[in-house]
Amino acid sequence: MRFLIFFGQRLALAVPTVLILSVLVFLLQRLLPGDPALAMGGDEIDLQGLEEIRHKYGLDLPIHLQYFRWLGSALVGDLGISLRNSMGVTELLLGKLVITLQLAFASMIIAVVVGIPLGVLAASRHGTWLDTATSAVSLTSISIPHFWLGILLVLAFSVNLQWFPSSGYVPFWEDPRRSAMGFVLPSIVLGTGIAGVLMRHTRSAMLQSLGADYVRTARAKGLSERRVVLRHALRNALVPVVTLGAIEFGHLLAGAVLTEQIFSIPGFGKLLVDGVLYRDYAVVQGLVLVSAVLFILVSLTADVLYFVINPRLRG
Amino acid sequence: MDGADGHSLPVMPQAAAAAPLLQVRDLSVSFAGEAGIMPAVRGASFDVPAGGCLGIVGESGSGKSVSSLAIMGLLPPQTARITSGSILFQGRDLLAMSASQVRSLRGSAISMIFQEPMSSLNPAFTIGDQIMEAIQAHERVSRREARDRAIGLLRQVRIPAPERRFSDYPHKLSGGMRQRVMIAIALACEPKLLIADEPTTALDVTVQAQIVELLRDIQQERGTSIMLISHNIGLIAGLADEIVVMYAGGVVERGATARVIGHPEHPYTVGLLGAVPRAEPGDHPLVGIDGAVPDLRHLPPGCVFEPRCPFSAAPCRQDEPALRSLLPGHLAACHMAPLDAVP
Ligand SMILES: Nc1ncnc2c1ncn2[C@@H]1O[C@H](COP(=O)(O)OP(=O)(O)OP(=O)(O)O)[C@@H](O)[C@H]1O
Ligand SMILES: [Mg+2]
Repeated sequence: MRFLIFFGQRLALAVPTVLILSVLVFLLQRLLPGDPALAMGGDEIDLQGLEEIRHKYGLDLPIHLQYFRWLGSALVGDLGISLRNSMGVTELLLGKLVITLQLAFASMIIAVVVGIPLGVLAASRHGTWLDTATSAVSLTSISIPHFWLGILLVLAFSVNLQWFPSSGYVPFWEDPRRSAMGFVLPSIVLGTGIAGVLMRHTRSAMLQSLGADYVRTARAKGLSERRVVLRHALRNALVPVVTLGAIEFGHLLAGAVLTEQIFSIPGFGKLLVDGVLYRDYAVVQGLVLVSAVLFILVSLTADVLYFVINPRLRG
Repeated sequence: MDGADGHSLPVMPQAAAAAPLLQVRDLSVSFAGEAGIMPAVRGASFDVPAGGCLGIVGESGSGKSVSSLAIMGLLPPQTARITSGSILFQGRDLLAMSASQVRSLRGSAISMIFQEPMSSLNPAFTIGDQIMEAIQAHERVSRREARDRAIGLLRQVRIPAPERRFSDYPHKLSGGMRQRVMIAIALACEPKLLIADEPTTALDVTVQAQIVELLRDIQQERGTSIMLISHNIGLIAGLADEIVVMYAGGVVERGATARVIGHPEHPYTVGLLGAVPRAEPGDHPLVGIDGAVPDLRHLPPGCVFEPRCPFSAAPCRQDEPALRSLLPGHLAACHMAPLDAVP
């Protein structure tokens, strides 16, 4: 029951957020200079041709009507037609979403598997050279630019060692092995910075919980140091880290423009760049809206998780 | 002045019958910090009688908690150093044992409950879980058996509806209830020694009395030895067979409870009792103690209590008084003792 109330509150907050965002996205696109009808029709088109195109895509309607038309169909899953290649935007997005999801999951796995254990290690060896070294690694990985790390990895592992492909996406169902190999380097690029962030926050949350009275109690019970750290301290330290991880994951779902460019991965990032370049309103609007909804879904999931691992909320 | 030599430790009356369970000898602990080395415990010696109760009193900062953490092996390893002494538990020196040997005693033969009941339980686990964990840390028992024992322990510490409480999280319990859970955890493996570090300080007065009552029953029914720490000498008087008075990291007086309370021989104890030393003319009235605990990093050369002492005389500013026997089993570290003789 308490959970339903909690969840309901979060959901009630999410709806207006999406609506406001949809208005902003819609307006922003219209306020940008450039005429999509002109972009579509090409140089040779006459005035009448332009009118026809405008009419066909509803571009001649008053702006608020355009918005409601767009929102109405968006609600039933129709995000319009791509001005550029006449495909349904919804299908287009679904295809790219699969790719972006794979990349986001792979990056997140790397970030969690590296970041959290190193954060725990640094905190449990607080003040030693290991702590200092780990913090230095964390800081470096946070500040290293994606394109630079990407190029470095390509040089090392594709050009020199030839372990992983430098670019190109292969769908999973065509060749699972090659598909997975293609995701390795881009996931490292995206996962590194997040690993650094998770490491830093895990470390400080762990330092806090290791100093807590309940950890002293755990030690007073005669538990092994391993159990004290991994069960009693980590469990509480994870509460803030989970929220942070969810936010990072949400960002990944919006698409990684640079990394997708470097490794020629046709995900949300690439779609966004193309959409903006060709003034493909429908695609850009749909993309931003879907990313926002995904982000909100991820934070809702994080809230649920937060609720599960934090008994104090459960009453 | 009494002629007894204070350097060898005279045997206490009870200790003559049975060897004490715990013997702390000349324990010194210091902390290293930016501001230099701070001696938190300075050559403290005391015994916990087997099956009995030792009370330790002293103002805040007198080294009571640090002494008990030293016994538990729970001093922070980065900053704390035990610079001298021994801690004999059943005749074996805890300070000479390996970390894992000490760990196997911790929570089984020696348990501790703390000053802060509100924060001493882990908020992420149910109280049943936390009690079962204490059992399973030292004994190979099935989950079922651990569960039954945990519920039994909750019942023993008089928590109502123990089966229901078993699956509650700590935040649902009041401070007094949480301290009872802490006691249940401490009793999980039938310890020989229970260290209770100010178990009631954070609680309401009525709840305080209940907790003290509970500790008394535990001592009587199970024969558990208790080391009860408090800054409230009245609370200790109700439970302890012997009292140790600590000041600025050192023991300034010790002896049988009735004797120390009825006939205090250190001016600090007199001050703690908040009373006029003797109901005779010419006494020094002393209600509460003026002044503050000295900075442990810069202790005065003579008696550490001298700056606050109404009995202070010339020798007090030069030599630190050693603990010496005034009667068999009653010791005080004061140049002026016995205080009856002071004009
Ligand atoms: N971890 C620590 N690091 C540095 N100094 C400490 C630490 N723990 C205790 N001390 C210092 O040691 C001295 C004795 O502290 P202790 O906690 O033993 O006092 P106490 O007698 O238990 O007092 P209280 O009644 O306040 O609990 C104090 O001056 C305290 O500041
Ligand atoms: Mg204390």
